[in-house]
Formats: sequence, C-alpha cells, structure tokens
Amino acid sequence: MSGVRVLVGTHKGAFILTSDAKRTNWDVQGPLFAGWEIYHMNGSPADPQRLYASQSNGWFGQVIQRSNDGGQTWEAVGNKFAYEGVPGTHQWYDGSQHPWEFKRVWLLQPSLTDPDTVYAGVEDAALFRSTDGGQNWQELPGLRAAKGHLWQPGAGGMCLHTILFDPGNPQRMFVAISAAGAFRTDDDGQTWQPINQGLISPGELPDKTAEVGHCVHNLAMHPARPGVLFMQKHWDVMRSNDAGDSWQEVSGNLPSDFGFPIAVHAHEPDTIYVVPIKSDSEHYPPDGKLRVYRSRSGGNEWEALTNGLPQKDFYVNVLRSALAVDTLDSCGIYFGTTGGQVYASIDSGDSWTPIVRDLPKVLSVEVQTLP
Amino acid sequence: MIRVMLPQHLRTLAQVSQEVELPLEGAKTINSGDSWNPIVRDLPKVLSVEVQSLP
Repeated sequence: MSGVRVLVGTHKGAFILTSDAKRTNWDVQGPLFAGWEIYHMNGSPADPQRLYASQSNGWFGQVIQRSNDGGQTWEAVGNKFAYEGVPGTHQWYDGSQHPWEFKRVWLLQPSLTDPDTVYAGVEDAALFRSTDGGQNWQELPGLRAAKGHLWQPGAGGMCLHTILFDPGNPQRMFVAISAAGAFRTDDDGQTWQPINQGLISPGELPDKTAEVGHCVHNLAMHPARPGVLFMQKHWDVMRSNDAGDSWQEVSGNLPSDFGFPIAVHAHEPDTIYVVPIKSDSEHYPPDGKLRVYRSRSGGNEWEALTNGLPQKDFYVNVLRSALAVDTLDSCGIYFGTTGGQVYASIDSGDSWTPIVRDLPKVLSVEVQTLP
Repeated sequence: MIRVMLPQHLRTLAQVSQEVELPLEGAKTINSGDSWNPIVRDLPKVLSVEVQSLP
C-alpha cells in the first residue's frame, strides 16, 4: 500500500512523520540528531530509502548524515566543503567586500536518477556536488563566477536555498540564492547565467533592476512543464514562462506579496501555493490569521485557504523550505511553522489538519510519496 | 459555560439539538498547576512571562 513519509528538519533535531495513503493516522519518529539544527532532510527520487540530512551546530560545525533504510539508521559521511581555488570575496552588508566562508549546508537535493549523486546548497552561497553518496564534495565554481563579488547576505545569511532539476534536460539546473537571485546552467553546472530580468527590488538594491543581488526566497516548478518557473521573492510573487529569461509579477490580490515558500500542485501545473507574511520586519501572516493562498491560474488570482487553520492570534512564520507536496492522486500539501506545527491537507488545500503541534522551530519539510 | 456544535451523526446519537452547552467552573484552569490550558498557541518564541495581579 502506498503512503507518505514527511521529513521535518527543526532547530533542535529531525522528525520523520509517516502515514499510509489515507494520511489520517500518523507515526511520529524523533527527535533524530536531538539538539542539532537540521536545516534540511531529503530523499532520493531514485531510491526512496536513501535519505540525506544536513546536521549543524555552532560548536561542532557541519555533519552530513546518510540513511539507506528510510531513516531507521544513519551514518555520518563527508563534511569537507572547500571552495575551489581562492575563495575570493562577496559584498557585505555595508557594501564592502568580505571573504567567502563556509558556514553550513542549507539544502540537499539528490539527483533524479542516481541515489549517490547529491547536490548541496551552502552558506556562504555556493553549490557542491557529491557522486559517492556524500563522502566527498566538489564545488561547481562556475556559479560563483556569475558576478559573485556582487552577491550579498540576506537577513538570514548568504545562502543557496533552492535547487531545481529539469527532468527533460539533464544539462539544465536552476538555483536561487538570497540575496543574489536566480541562476541557470545549461551545461551540467559548468557555467551559469543570472536569470533575474524582470525582478524589481527598489527597497533592497541601489539599482532596482540589477542583474544580480535580488533577494529571491524560493523557486518552484512542475516537472511536466520545466520551462515555467514560479518565484517567491522578498517582495513579489513572480512567474517566468521562458525558463527564467524573463519574469512577470503575479502577486495579484494577495494581502501581502512578502513571503518565503512557494510550491506547485503535483498534478495541476498552474495551481500554486504561497503563505503571505506581513512584511520583512514582521514575519507572521497579516491580521494574525494563518492563510495559505492558492492560485489555480498560475498566479494573479488567489484564494485564501483557511479551513482548519488558526484564524486568530497566529504570529509565527513558514520558512522557505517548509512547504512541500506529495504526488498521491488527491494531492497532499504540507507545511511546518516556526512555532513547531506541521499541517497537512489531503485535498489540495481545501482543508487542513495539524499532524503534530509542538515540535521545535521547523526549518524544512520534504515529502516522499512511497510506492 | 462553553457551547459545542455537534455534527449530524453525533446529534442523532446524543439525541440533542445542534448545539449543547456545558458548564465550566472557572477555577479549573487556575488550580496551582493541577491542570493546564493554553491561553494562546501561536505566538513567536516566548522569551519571558510575567504576571500582574490586578486589583
């Protein structure tokens, strides 16, 4: 019988939530790596039993964990993330240049076809790849050659937080960095180009339409239509119909176009989800009401989804990696909050139920649809 | 007093109308820690709590 496995990274450990395809009864496993920050935990599309987790700690640094049995047992693998050549400098908050320094792995994205090949998005922003199951990591330095000296940290650091593969073109990949923007490679990561035309950041950049420097919070794509990208920017929800060559704003009637995550329905490429937040200084939903917004038209027209969600006194946030969808026939949507709740909808967002309410601050949510 | 709305099948089972009212004794939530209720669940990370007993 098919089911789902929800992989939750938190400020103080990891949790694995499992259910059958009905998704009404949940088993909660954890905390794994108790007390450590788990920025991200993710499974291989090619082998669902292969999981990777980014475990970090201010005292002990970075550890990459790997499981070959769906999270029952784990082993530490390679944790050496060395920038290629001379690391160089990037822009600092005050406009001066600052040395590139590795801090942590924000995101682990396993290859679509090979469980031993996995990509890591790190802070300070760079992209690393392992082809031996996480034992050894090599930077793809062509990314930082895309005007890296003009990248700067966002409020959460200078992090590479999004990696998307084009299922129809193994040479093509997209990444997003806060605050540098979105980038695309068409040669398997050798060279990269900024894809930020159409982004406008008047509050963040001296040149509001600069080629790089935009604070992109998250990207999403439907695998059946990889040329269409959706973006939650610092402010503005954006859409590209040409693989990022140009962007148009689709914020429409959202109560706020500030937010962090964005996701696409598993079976409807024009159905997208965001969680608006009041502002960059007030990281909670407008009016204290937790509302996921859904557009069935690829943006511009949005509806508030509230059934089962708190509609008063809600003052926590949903972070950029904490929204995910499963691929069961009735598409499940999942998100975690900085207050430690993980909510699920098994009807494409029409209604919501908390799976678990009192976890540590949720940093990331991924979902595996199991055969 | 709290008011509880019941779905149809529970109304039939309980042989009540749509809404039932249950009495509550206020002291149950302030009983030296014997039982607890959340006042609010979804605030940002709480850094401090103080209480004023008002006249």
